[in-house]
Amino acid sequence: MDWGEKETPSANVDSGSPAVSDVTPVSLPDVEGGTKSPANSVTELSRKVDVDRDDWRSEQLASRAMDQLSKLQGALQGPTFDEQGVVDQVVAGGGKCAALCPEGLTLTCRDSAITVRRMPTETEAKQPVRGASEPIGLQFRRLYEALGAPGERHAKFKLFRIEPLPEQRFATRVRYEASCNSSKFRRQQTAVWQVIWNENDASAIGPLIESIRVLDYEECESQVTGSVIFREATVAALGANVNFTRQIMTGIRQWQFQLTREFMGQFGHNGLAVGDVNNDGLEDLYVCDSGGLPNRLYIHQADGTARDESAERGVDFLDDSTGILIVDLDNDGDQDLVIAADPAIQFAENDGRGYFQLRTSMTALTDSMSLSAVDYDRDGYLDIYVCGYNVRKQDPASRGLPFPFPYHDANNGGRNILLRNDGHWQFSAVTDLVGLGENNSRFSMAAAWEDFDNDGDQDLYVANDFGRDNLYENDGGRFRDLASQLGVDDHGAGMSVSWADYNRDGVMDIYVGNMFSAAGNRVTYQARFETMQKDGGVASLRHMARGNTLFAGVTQQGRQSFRDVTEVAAVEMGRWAWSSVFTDFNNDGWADIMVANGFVTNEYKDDL
Amino acid sequence: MSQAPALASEQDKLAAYRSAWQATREMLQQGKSFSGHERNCAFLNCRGPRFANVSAISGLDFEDDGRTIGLVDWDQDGDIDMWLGNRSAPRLRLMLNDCESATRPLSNERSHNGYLAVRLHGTQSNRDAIGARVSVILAPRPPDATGNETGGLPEDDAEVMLIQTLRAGDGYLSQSSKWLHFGVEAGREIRRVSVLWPSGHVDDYFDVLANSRYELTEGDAAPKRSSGGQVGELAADVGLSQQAEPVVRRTYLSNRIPMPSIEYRDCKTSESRRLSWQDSPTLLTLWASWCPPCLAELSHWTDDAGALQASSVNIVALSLDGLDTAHDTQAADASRVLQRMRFPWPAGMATREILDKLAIVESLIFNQQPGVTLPASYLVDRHGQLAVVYHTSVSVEQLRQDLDQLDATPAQRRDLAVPLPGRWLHPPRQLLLRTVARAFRERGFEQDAAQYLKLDTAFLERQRNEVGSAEQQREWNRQFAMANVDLARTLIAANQHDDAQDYLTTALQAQPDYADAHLESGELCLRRGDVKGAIRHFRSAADSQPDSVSTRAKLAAALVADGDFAAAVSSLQFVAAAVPDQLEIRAQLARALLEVGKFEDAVPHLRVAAANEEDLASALALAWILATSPADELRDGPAALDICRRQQARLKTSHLVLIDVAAAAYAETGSYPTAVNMLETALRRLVQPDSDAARSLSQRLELYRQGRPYRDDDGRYP
Repeated sequence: MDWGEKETPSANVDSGSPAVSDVTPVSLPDVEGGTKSPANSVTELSRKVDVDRDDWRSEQLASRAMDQLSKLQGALQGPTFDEQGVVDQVVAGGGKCAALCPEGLTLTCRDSAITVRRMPTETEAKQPVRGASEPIGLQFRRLYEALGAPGERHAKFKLFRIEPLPEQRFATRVRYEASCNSSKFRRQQTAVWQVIWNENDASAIGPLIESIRVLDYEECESQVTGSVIFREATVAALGANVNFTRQIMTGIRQWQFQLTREFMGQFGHNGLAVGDVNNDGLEDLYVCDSGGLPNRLYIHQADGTARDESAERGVDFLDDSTGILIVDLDNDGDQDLVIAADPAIQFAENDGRGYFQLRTSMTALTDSMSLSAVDYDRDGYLDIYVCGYNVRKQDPASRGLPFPFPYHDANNGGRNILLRNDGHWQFSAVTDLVGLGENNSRFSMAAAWEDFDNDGDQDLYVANDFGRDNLYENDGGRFRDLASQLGVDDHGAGMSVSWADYNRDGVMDIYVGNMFSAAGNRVTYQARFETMQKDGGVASLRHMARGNTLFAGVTQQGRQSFRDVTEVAAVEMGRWAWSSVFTDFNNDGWADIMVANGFVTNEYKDDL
Repeated sequence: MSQAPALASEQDKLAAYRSAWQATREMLQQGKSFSGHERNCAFLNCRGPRFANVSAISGLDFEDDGRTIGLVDWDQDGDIDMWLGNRSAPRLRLMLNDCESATRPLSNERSHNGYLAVRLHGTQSNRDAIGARVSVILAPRPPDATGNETGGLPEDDAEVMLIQTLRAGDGYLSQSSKWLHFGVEAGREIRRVSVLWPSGHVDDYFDVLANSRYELTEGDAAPKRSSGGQVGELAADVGLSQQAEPVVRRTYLSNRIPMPSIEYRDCKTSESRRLSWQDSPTLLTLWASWCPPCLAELSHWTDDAGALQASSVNIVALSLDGLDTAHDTQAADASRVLQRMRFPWPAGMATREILDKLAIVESLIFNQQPGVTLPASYLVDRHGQLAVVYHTSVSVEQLRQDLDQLDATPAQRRDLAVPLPGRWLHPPRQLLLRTVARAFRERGFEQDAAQYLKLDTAFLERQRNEVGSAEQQREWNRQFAMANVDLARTLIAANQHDDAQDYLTTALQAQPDYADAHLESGELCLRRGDVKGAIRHFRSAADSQPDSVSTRAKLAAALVADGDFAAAVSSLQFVAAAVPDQLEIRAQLARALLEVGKFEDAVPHLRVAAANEEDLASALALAWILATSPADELRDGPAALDICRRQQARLKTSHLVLIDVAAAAYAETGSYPTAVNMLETALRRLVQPDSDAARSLSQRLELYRQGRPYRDDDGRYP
């Protein structure tokens, strides 16, 4: 579903050449009518409900428009801007529009690191600032120049709405993101445009842009010369470890050519946890790895580096490991380990110096994902909640690509379990006993605890793939799922959850990581899609494609509830999101958001 | 009827949906991306309703397949750093935050934001104090400290409260530091820190300074200031991508897979030969005359032939010349190369079938299947089991090492299969031969599938004596029966029905109530025309699977075929209740009910079935009852007429039964002249005027002429 991206030789070493140079591909003739070309699953699903089976002519239009946008992208990424090329190939003769970087921007944020300006919304602006209409090619030049030069430029378009118009024209909404980085400055432009195309010109290579209207525009830049908020110190911290090249610098994709599916899935669902295991006041790091590659415990050294001591400390497990926690399970003042390594959850005791001994294990009947610890019954011992995704498969390769059914509200996933800590390294599964058996057959990825109703015990939000999430209210150790009642079931491909009081109103808010799908947006927002789906599935399918979700906690008449403020907050675009977390990265006392994303980058470009 | 069509259509939908997933899987196997090259995002809180997208400025917008985020002030310099975990390389990144670095120059005479970090220790509560809520109350900002163009926010004049809860595990597969980190806006002072411990106890701390780290203990009102800041500073990285190293595509299998049968054409004799794996290890290698690394490899082996022959490995080189569409070479080119080289081992031509079979085997081994590549070699042990796969050139040294490791025990094999040492938590998993067989059967290689399944049943046979407890015995019986049924199905697909029958019998001996064995046996009976036998098996299957709709549908179909309508009724009722929208089932049920004389019961089903106008038989049966039933409450002449008119309009040809039924309907509505006219015309056109049909028509004609309707006690159309 991504398109128009340049193959960027960035620091991501996976985007380089094939793994081995002496391998020659063999071309065999097609025997069975060629290969299938599947599409994004939301699109695919949408097609299945299409009774007319005309294969969504609009998707063909979208594809032609995207080919044109990728030319524009090329021009915007070039060292100089080829205005004539853009005019010749992409713009309809005589096409004009108002400025793409509008005047009259509002300064919305300025701190020690970053300045942000954006176009006022129609309600904010006393009078709309449009500026004069000028040729589209010229407006693109101005947009290009506003980003600054010279520098490393990046531009990207997402076409996320499309609607046919009469007379061989069609309307699209396009998201534009561009940046330019140099030693002198870093600058970013983010915008949403309504772009009208026409296909009247038979000699044109594709549809041509007739007009552009800027619906939203925001630009930001580093306050300080060329600086970024974060700089990388991976090699500095880890480079001295003997396995650095083989284990850190080799991606799952490359291992797929050597390690078998008996050990390793394709998707890299391997967790990490931070904690001080040797009580020296420095935080250490435990990193799970795919089956066949050992988990690592990196001990933080005084010089800031991290040294792999997993073998001597007894935790270099080779089994496919997903969730991991570093917590004090026996209240003896040191940090123990919980590792989800199917088919069991393993508990290892710390001897006080950071050396570990396996103490007990609990069999999980599903593919385990994220772990979280909580003292749900306030008996002074930490209990463990395990998210279960698929129903158990022998083959680790199946994890993460199941057959959820139905797609938008799947209820055939694995069970999550709550393991009560009974002391002395004894744990009991109490899931049903405490009421967590309710709505517990979804494809759960992650969970996070928070006392959202401020009644003194910890409540639980669970992010579920392919459908609705849970919010279990804890009432003295008994749970009820209030997600639908409180409007936070968040129909989506839930991947992660994070809590914070982002608006400082004293009530906790929720940020859920989901999947943004441009194709899913295009298809589900068309008028005819609505006529085809009668059962209210439209809203949920649209929601599924929207992206990440922000729920603001509110107090109404003494009751806690939530408002979906995602679109106002402009935080939906997390792409195919995984960990999506609140954190105040500029120390101004306001929680910011960081999203890790991207599903599978393989040798070839996306076909989806 | 093989299967209830309603089920089939549900299954079609499911199958289409599954196939979309399957296609996605296959695409990934072929090395395609799926939402790849996506850049991480960062949103800045602008203290209003809307965040700003600062991804490109954050320094975090890598194109990684990002997964996890561990938040920690790693260098203890007062701001939040991140460990990022990825699927792609680099699998880990350390991102250091410089926002509070003393080296960062300030603009606009602004002062820095500050921070407060606290680590909690529970006493009543759990020791890590997970679940504790920390509130930091900041004093109002003095007016001159604003220095901010968007400043002057109303809350500058007020206290503010920052709250955070200590958590273990959030985001996705991630746990961040237990040091809670609060940003403290420039110009504000900390008035109070309040901790609500999980136990319910509250501690307030008043003497807390910004830009410090404190350890707080439950019940102890004195905050302990931690030294911190003792961590050395790390230099920023340059040239990270230079660190990568290619993976060697040699795979030592932890689970060996028996090789399928391989038949090739010998280069010298042109005879077809079947590879024998017995007695000595075999290195099967694929090559082509146009592939330089292949030629180098073959010639290295030839140079060291003496040593290799001493280690008793048999090498078989199969050439792809002539198979590859991109190269214009033929078998003769391959032979010439080998002759010139004096290649001392057997050689032949690969076939498409061989490549397909190897691809199936590899699909069970690898997640990634980029298609056929050269060079490729397969080391097979003396038991015919694949031990090592090479998608790279094989040096003599490597080959000799791998030959030495062929005798490794199954436990040793797993350790040899991984690239880096470590310890295992769980015992090895076994690859089921049934899985291998299924893969071959799905691709149309039934004979190979049958061979695998025979190995599977033989393997289970060997285990028979090790079975101890009654529960183990039951499980063994189940596995053994499943394996035999799988084998029988494969043989049925290969048209070896007699052999299939033997395995089904074996399965039923092991588990007499195994429904799948009965279903397959029933199908075999039907193929032989033994309907009674089929009924027996389907009934047994239905007994052990009382909820299975398709089983009951099969049983009903067999009973109908046997003419036992009375028995068929209950099964058809069961099926009709399960799939009420399935009109064909309703029609069959109605027919069975009519056959056993339950006309009233049949009518509602006929009404449903007749909704499908294509179903002429149901329409006529319904119209006939509506027109001729002796029961007054069942008769409805106009409705009968309506059905007949619609059928007539649809068929557009004259149809004797339709005319007869329509005439009865006209008679029922009192239109005797029309009824008489219709039957007279029909009788004139009859080819055999003295048939039974003609006689009953004549009888009814006589009734209509007398102005009397026809009444049928039977209810079935004659």
